[in-house]
Amino acid sequence: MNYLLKSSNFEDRQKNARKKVAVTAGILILAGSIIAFTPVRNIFFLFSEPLWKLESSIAGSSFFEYFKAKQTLINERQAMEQKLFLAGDLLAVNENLKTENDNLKDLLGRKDPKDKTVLATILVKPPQTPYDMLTLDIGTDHNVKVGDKVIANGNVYIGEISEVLPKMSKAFLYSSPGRKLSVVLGAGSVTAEAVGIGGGNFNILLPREVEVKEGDVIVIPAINSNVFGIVEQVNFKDKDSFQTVLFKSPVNVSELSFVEVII
Amino acid sequence: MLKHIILDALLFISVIICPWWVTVILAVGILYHLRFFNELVLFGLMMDILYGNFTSNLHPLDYKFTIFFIVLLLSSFLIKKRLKFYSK
Repeated sequence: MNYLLKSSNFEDRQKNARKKVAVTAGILILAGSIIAFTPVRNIFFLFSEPLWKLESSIAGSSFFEYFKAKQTLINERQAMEQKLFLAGDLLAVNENLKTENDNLKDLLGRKDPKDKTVLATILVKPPQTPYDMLTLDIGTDHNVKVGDKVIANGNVYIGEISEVLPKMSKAFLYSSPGRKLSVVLGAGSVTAEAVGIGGGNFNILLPREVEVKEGDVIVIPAINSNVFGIVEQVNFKDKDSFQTVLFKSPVNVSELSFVEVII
Repeated sequence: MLKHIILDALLFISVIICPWWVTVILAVGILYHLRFFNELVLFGLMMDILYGNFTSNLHPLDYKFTIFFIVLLLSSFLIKKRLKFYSK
């Protein structure tokens, strides 16, 4: 078997080696300047933003609906009508309870101040992103700042703003792996620390004595305690002194198109 | 040279619009298709900046893709030496 020999010309090989070293050094300098200087980093967002907005508008358009079969559309409509009918009753009960709650708080002198929120379109979300982060189309132009809370479906806290650019911002999700958050669990109002495990899921480690069951509601401690999660599973072994409570957010982040930022 | 530029542009677009695992597969494919692809590190950095909770504090967890691509690049130097496709 004959293999092609390397070039025997020393000058050619030296020239190629110098070229490779120069290119590698150039790449390292560029990488260093990207890490060190924010305006250089923002160039990536400058190129990405129009493509993300284009992708978002195509995904949200009704163009592809023209290609669906007629029967599929009829079936979908019937299923949605049924869901709407069932949801109507729940909504009425919910409204009554909310009104009663507001009246009681008013009597006790704790009327909720309405938070000012800004609607944001999600440009990039999991699973496109490898991290549990959302990229939103509002930034300092809408007075967004680091630490502002992000809510979905009107009242479910899902994350916080972590980075703000002139026309975009990034929010980390509370369910990011390793993130910890103080929550209140179940009817007994047990305070616990929820740890994110990704994909809208959390776990809590509690002593066995604490009574928890599937379906218990979890809220963030506040005067306006909105639902943060619902217990899905409680795991423990007979000899364990602790139990692991697994719960998930009622919001499926990968299906969201809009969120609100509390500014 | 033109092929190199086209592949770079393809990977750039893939970082922005495709899921991250598509970008990784494409990056590995291009790395082993081209003889010299050191700019892979820049694409890793780009993914960390665009999608991560990026800071300038040089915390390793903020640079997962950068570090992963550096490891891929360094390992490719060793692997390519042992593959006859790259002998010249």
